[in-house]
Amino acid sequence: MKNNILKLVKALLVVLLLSSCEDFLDLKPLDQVVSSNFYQTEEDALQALVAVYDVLTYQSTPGVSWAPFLTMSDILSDDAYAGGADANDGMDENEFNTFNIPTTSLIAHSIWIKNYIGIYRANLYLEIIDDIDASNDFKSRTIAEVKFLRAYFYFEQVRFFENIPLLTATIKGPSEYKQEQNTPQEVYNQIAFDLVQAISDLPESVPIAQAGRITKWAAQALLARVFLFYNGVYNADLNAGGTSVNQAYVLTQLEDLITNSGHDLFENYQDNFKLVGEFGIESVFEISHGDTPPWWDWGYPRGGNGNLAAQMQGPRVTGSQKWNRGWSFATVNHKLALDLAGDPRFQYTILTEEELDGTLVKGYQHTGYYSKKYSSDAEHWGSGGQFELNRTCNFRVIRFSDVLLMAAELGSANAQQYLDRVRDRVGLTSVPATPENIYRERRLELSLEGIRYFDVLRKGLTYANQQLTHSFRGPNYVGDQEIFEVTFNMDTKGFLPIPQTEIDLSAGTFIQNDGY
Amino acid sequence: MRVNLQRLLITILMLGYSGCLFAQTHTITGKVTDSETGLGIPGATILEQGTTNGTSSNLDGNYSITVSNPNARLEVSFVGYKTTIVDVNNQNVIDIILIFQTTELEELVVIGYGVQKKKVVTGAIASVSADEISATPILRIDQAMQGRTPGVLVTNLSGQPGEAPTVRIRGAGTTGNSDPLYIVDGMAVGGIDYLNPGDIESIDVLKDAASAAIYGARAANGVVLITTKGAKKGEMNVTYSGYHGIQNVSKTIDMLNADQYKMIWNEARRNSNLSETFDLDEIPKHDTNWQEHLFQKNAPITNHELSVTGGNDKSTYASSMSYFTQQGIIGGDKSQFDRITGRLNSRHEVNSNFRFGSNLAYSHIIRRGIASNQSFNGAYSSALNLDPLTPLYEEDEYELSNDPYASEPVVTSPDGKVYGISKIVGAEIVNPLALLQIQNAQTRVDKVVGNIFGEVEIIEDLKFNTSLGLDMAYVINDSHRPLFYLNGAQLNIEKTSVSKVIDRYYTWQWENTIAYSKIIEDHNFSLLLGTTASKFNFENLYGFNTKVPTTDPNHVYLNMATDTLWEARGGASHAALLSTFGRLTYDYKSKYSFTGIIRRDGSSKFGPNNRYGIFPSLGVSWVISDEDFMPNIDPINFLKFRASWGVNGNQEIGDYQFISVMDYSRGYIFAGGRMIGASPAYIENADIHWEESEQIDIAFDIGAYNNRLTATIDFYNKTTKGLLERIPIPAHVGNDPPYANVGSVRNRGIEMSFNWRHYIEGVKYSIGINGAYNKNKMIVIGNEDGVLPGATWAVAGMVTRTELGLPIAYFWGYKTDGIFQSQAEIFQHIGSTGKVLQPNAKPGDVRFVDVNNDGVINEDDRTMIGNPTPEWTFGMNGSIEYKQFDFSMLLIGTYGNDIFNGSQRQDLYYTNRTTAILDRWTVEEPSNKTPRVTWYDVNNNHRISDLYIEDGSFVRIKNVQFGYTLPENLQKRLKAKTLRFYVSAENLFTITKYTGADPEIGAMSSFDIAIDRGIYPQARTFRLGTTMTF
Repeated sequence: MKNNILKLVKALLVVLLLSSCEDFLDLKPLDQVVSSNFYQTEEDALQALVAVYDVLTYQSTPGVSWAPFLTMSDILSDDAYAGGADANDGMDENEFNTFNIPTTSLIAHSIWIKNYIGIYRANLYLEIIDDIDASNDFKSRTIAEVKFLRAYFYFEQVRFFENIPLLTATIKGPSEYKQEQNTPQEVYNQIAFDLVQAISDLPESVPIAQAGRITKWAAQALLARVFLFYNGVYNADLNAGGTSVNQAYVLTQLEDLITNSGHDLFENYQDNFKLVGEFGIESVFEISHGDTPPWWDWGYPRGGNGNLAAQMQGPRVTGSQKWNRGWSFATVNHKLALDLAGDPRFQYTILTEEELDGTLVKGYQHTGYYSKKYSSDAEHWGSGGQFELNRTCNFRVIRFSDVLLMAAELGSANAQQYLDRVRDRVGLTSVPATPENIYRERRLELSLEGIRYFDVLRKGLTYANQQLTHSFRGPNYVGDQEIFEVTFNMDTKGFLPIPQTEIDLSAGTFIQNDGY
Repeated sequence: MRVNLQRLLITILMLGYSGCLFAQTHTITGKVTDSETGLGIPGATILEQGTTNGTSSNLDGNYSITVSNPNARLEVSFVGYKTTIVDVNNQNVIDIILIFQTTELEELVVIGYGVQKKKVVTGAIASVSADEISATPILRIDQAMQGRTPGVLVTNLSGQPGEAPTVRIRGAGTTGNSDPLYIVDGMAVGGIDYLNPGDIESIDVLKDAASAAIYGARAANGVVLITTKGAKKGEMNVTYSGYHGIQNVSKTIDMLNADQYKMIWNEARRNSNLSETFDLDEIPKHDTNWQEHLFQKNAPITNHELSVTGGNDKSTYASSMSYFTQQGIIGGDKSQFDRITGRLNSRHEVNSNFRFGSNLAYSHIIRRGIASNQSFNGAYSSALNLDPLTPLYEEDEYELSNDPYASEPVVTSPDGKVYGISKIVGAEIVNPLALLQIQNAQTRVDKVVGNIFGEVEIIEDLKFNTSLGLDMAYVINDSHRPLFYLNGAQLNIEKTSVSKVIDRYYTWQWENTIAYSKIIEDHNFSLLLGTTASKFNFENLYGFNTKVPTTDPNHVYLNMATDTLWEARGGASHAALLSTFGRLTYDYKSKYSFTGIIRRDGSSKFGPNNRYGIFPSLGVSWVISDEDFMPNIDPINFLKFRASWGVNGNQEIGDYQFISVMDYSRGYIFAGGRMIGASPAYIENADIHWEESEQIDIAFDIGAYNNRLTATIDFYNKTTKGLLERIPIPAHVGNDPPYANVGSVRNRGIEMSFNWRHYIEGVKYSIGINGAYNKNKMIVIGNEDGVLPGATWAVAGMVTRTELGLPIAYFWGYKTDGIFQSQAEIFQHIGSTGKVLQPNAKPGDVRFVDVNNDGVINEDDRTMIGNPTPEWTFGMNGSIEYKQFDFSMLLIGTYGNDIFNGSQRQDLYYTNRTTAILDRWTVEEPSNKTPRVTWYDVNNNHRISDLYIEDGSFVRIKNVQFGYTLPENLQKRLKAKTLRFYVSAENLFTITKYTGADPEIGAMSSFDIAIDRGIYPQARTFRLGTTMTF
């Protein structure tokens, strides 16, 4: 008996201590896929690609701040004020509005984080695609898409922050965390290089169901936008891996786009901001938003796909059948209303308080004007989820009218015709295609679309100071005059501060931008 | 656990030798009495010295013994009394008076995989006995440690029924999960809210590393060993105990009434150059005191339990059932906790070398809760911030016929009244009663915890023990979101929705130990070797749909939903732990003791690079007072020195953090529909390992005045290295950071406890005082800026931080220096560069300090403005018994801690304020504390600063109890063995400078401590209860 028990004990110890230990402890996730085993098939690659596209819709960083590109660049511009419920509600936004941006700005940090997520996922895609079992066509097209997206994220980042680290590969571990800022030239050249390569490999058209995926034309148009900004601010051409990207090069791309893409203007200007115009003929590059999956999680809005800018910019009105329950951020500057006075596009650009049904709560920096292009209008209410998180309007990043105006500005032989096309569509008569008229047309055609601020900056700091220092409170304003007074801060050249957290985490390698 | 070992041994000896009586030569009779009470002592042992011949006294203390010769010596002993030796000297009647002495040192202490005599324990172990647990009717077993165990800080999270308090043993030893490991009857369990406090025999807290080391990789935050009641041999006992109580709020906060609110409103507008919108002469239509409506009056609390114990020589059993229900003082049945428990513990002795037994407990818990400390969605937060002009119910026909009442799904009370909606206060501040009305979440738990064990004595003193345990729970969460309109920002006007989550937790544990003990003359050895294997499994299922055509929360099931928006999710995870351990203890005459422990853990939470950890410890003790050379220093009769060193681990992070997994929450909508995307959820770090906590403990145990006074003083230094944290990394890395071993935290402290017990003239009384000092400091943070982000408050962003050289989660903000009294003072407030620091300020605004002296006041001037963790915690308990009466009291307190008072939403200019605002700065009546009121706060007076910080020290009378036990003759007539009634009061009163509702604010997370967002205060409870045994 005792011997048997001893044997049993011995056996137990042997079993427990020596054998099957590793198997018992080597537990892998049950309901998740381990990253190192993931990237195998074309389908896996497609999911990795979608993860890069996903970042296009990020308008907030959970735990940091909401920061839709559209809203924030318009608040920086002379198109819009900060707004919000009251001075406290819009405090962070108002720092942008008044160019009094602390280095700890959560909005600036949110933008910074978002773009590097996009860049990381793009770099990761370019690293894993080699070993994927997929056709060459698939690989070359998706690589081109990812390069476009990487260029897009870098462009947004460098346009806002100017001095940023340039990473074209993922960081492999803590030893690589420390990076230095590159020169704007290096970053812009990489953007140009990615776009030039993307142009040669991207398709000219995509099947209807794939609408929303990047085409060659989108890359050409983005390259032109990059060139105009870089050339305007730094007065230099771009070098795309040996190819000089200059005015002629860019113009050739735009003429190709205008002639061969099939893109055209909508008959009705306002269709650009309606459901019927989504992925339409005028849209050269568009970021999609929607209510699938219906989203509820306030803590993680980016898990859904709603357009947060539309929620922020909507009028603060209840009981309305037409516009509902926005937060009245980015109230429209009276200056824009004055410029648009008499223009047929006024009524499709600016929502006036007189048009509203329901009960309006007038918030901070109330001017009586809201954006009508991206707003909480009935057509774009989501059909499920928390309504604030499910606004469905797509963001038209580059419209064909912008392409025509860029080509005209770059000195196209058809400049007059291009300008006329844009004006004629809204019933305006021809004006001479002078640089001033072309530039003025951009202001009227493209206002409240996240374009104005950078158009102003690229005209030089003197011009920026003239335009961005303003005090137009409008006829229906509420509040003291001083809350409508904005002075541009020339010391910053219009760039945002490098987020303080990132400077702290860089162990002294990051240098803060001028003026902060 | 107090086991009368001596008595047991003697009884066994007597049983063995009772047949071998010697020739009767001399018989002695007499009575054994207590020296102080003069009452007879039943059950005292009378032994003829040097023989095994003995007897015990009867119920009245009388005895009779026959000894071998008239010159024999009698040794008389009884637990709790000093053993007395008398020479028979040919006498026939010898009355013996025993002197009471607390024999704490003979008590047995649960040490993990065994018990040890307190005298030879080398570690720091604090114990709470069943008597102490029953002296304070507690709701949860963790509350029994509050105020009784020095070094164990127990802070109730809030006053909401059923919420787990924050338990910190010797400070926050990690920035991650700082909860201790709970072992119930040998089984590691996930939580202890399933336990009925009446079932508990003892709680033993292993505080130092050396004691806890036997639990290795999970022991770094200390170990709480809970032993449930077993039975003693003998006749059946049936015990009923129960109480019923009423709970009320003990403190409400003085808020502005309608007139004051209007006055402040107008003044704030005047100070902002805005028109004054209220006519102060007009009598307000409503003057609502929201707190009065919010707090329930006489919220009930009830407990019933029935236990049956008994057994014979072979088998014993202890079985119990209990029902507990408590309604909250906020929300009533919206904040309710119900618990039903059943338990069966049994032991069987098959023969002299084999026994087995089992412990089995089932619990059913229903929990309905509301946000208990939230700026958003908190009912109390709303009650403190909503204006008094809004009515509780809107009854004005004109208002009801207008928006929003006419057009929106406004909330109505059960009897059909429409809750009022404020016209002036918005954002998250809503009618708190309406907010409660729409809360429908409910959690139901079915839990079974049990183990079965067997022990074989293979050869003499060599025992093999095997135990198989399980901890299984089903947790069902229901929630229903009706249509509601609380205000323009808090609403759900489109679709009702319903969701259900079912979680299944299942853990098994198999332990095998071999214990060998040997006594060679005065040398005692014991050796323990063991293995543990355990596996944790989790699975869940979630369903969601919208459009539920009913408003009856009892009728809301997924099947009722009519939309096509079905959502379902489900997942699973698992974890395993495999360990071997050994412990050697040795003592010489109980004078010199040594304990050595080594444990090796393998954990599935870590990758192949670092899967195994080894955790050693050593402890020694020396009873100095047993040394012959020790002079008798009156009144000290016992002095023991202890020292220990050890290393423990902490592995409480999520599973599989050493590998990166794919996150499928990515997606993008193309024209053809949404496509799913996937990318790694975080950066991979295959090298993570457990946190390691190294601790040294040096202590003295002292007994004096015949051990009536016992005292313990411990000094410790505990350093936890390799803290596992998702530490902020540069954003250009592009993905979430991995867990990494990145920091160290040190806790140093002193613990003291003094207990005095005495009988005097029929009065039995005791007083215990304990206090603990702890200093917490981060000594390494492994990222470049040496900072870990902390908790946020309302919309102000981060208000706590963890930083190198400072305590965990300190309060972070601006320092202030009074109020500007004049424009001249504003111009005189000049920084190092000669510029006016606050040029936009006006008289009455707050003067901020340029902490870094760089000539501007900006974000870089934020600094440490408070520490949420107490420096000192203390407890005091006392009890008196006299005849049929007994009285006990427990007092707890903290000193040196701060509270962030964020119950007022100062960031919203229109909210109501406490009456403290009446002392604001005005031209006529300047203040140097409270700034002027304004809507146009250019100086940002309400930015996070030390104006939010208050002293959180407090002393609270936690419990007072007065009991009466029926006299024996009356009990006998009622056929009861004991019958006692009591009244008790909890949270009777609190002394504190803190102006908020309750200074006891638990940790919402490691970084979110003592932030008052409108804390659900603890109730003042009065109870009437009884215990009767038949």
